[in-house]
Amino acid sequence: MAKNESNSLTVKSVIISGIIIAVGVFQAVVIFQNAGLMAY
Amino acid sequence: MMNEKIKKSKRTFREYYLIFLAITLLIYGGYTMLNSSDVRDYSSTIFDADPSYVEIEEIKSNPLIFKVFRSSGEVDLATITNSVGYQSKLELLTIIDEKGLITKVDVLEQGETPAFFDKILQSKFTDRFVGKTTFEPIYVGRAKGYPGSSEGVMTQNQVDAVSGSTISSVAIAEAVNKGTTYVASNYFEKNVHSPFIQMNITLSEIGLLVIFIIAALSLYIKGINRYRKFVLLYSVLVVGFYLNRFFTFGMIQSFFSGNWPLANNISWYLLTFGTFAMIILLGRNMYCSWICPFGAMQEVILKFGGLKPIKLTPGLVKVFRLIQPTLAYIAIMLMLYTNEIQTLAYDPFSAVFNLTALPIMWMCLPILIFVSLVQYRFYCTYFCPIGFILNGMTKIRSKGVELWRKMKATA
Repeated sequence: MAKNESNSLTVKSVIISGIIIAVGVFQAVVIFQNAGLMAY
Repeated sequence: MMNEKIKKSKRTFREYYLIFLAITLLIYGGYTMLNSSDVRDYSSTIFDADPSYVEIEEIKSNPLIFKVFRSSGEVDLATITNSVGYQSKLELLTIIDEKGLITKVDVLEQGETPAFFDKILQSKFTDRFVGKTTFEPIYVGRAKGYPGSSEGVMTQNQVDAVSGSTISSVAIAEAVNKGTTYVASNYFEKNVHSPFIQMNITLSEIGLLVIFIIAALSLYIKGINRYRKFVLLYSVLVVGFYLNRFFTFGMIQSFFSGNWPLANNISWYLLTFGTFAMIILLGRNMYCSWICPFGAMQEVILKFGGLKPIKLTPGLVKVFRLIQPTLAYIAIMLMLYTNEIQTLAYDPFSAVFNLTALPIMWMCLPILIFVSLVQYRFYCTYFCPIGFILNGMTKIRSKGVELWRKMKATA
């Protein structure tokens, strides 16, 4: 079980998760920019 | 009884979330539709175009044509026409003087990808029409293979397309021609036909058709899967970089809102109808898996990179899978709120294949490409609104067929 858990939360997966969130935010910014509600 | 039903249905959090989004979207969409005043005040737009106008009179409703009186006694004609561009409906005002010359062209409404349309604005493309005569069709230069292209036509009456925004340029010229050819034929007694009406089957349509056929055949001829690598490369290089054709969120919007382009825009019809037809007839979303150049690009990167994919825990994936509908939801809500169709254009396709994008998109792009090395179809999985909608349609289709079969069995 311990092995499983260490597998599930590796540094790599944490980095990828961070990137996913960052890209999500970027995309939201693009949407707001396209809508004209945020400067380029 | 009630409890039993709830236990049986076992909906996931994601499903509840999607239902919530759909309901609020429907409520807000309905609300804006009821409250939208579709009647646009064109006269104020025309008055703004030239301060010497003193009176405006509508003389025709389809196409919309106004007589505009100047204080000096001269009478101009103003036409309001539209066309479909890269992904949206464009509405244009064209003013024609007594000699049949164009004095002004103005884009009143559009929802093109902002990075593209900025090029049109910056190059003052609409000013290129000023001084052109309505007694001849207005052709588009530097638009080889597009409808209305001046290629092979001996004419001075042409405007050069803005490079990198050819489709939008051509659409603007098409709308202008709709007005000018009508005015010339009906008010100046000249016989002018729009050059945009003829069918034009070019390499672009054939190139696109080929990949649609391959995608459909791949369901029946399993051997094609062995050559998937080549199909993916074809999609990236030909459909993406060379033809620059891909399904966009704006296209889905214009499809469902009935803003369809002229029938000669074959690639638009092929992309929309082809994709939807495969979902309805074959029950598969073949666009994402075989045709989409950006999806193919990510797969190619993963395949040729040869790195071991990093696996996220199923719990994390579940949470992150909510990003995709959330972004689509924000985009649709803001589009309804601001009335700017370009709000839907947050995909990175034009950044990759046209090298045209807003600054923040340029920041996104290397990340998307880099992470594709260790994540299978990274953008498709977590962000793409088109995949989300097409997959949703596929699911609804399968559920519908299932239900129909059950009903048939019980009947």
